[in-house]
Amino acid sequence: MIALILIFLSIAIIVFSLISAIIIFYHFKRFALSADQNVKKILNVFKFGIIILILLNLFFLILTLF
Amino acid sequence: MITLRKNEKIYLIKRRHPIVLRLELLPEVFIFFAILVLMTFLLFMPLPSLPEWVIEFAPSLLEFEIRGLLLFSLSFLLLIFWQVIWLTITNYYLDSWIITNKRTIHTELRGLFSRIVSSVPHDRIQDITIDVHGILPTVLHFGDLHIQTAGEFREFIFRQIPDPYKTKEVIFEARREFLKALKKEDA
Repeated sequence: MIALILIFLSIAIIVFSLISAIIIFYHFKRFALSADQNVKKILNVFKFGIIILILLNLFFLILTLF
Repeated sequence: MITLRKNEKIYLIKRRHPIVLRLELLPEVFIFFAILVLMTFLLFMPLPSLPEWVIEFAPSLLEFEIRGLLLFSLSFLLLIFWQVIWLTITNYYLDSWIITNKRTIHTELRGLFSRIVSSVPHDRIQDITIDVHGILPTVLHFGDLHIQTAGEFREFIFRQIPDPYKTKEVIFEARREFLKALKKEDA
């Protein structure tokens, strides 16, 4: 039962993260200045951070379950 | 993306003073790093076993290692705070005022799904006033800059921008050049 709750929580946070990532990317693509070079750097930091944290979350989920 | 018109050049891009962002981010970043420190601590320190009342309440917890459960919960929080930090940065970065040789453009985030982009041509500008109040704005030279415009355009407010006096000069200079160019076109 607890294993199922943990899996559900993990899926929920990953979906939530992806939605928030889409919102942030959308805002930057839609409203940033086309000539602004910093936008790419900012989005790369955010993207890699979120990928690492999702992987970390999955790693600890696997570590807990098995 | 916001694209500039033909022959339009950017003179200045203004955002709120970085200290405003830092103050907003301070509690979020502090919690983020506190979680990271706690996770490192959990990884290397020996943990006591679960209290008896917890085992009585949820005996199935014994199937799992307490360390793994805590690390999973903390990584969960870490992910949430990462997003909170980036939503704050997005809000700061995209609330900007762009002064070009033709107009002043303002983009503002009003909630996650509401963003306003407005612009005012320089010939509509009637007056500019600067409002600096408080100890921090006076010491760090930031404040609000109000642009009163004619016609259907509303009042433009540059909020908490650094060097408002210099910005005022840039806008007036851009306005002078714009009006000169308009006169040339008419002639």
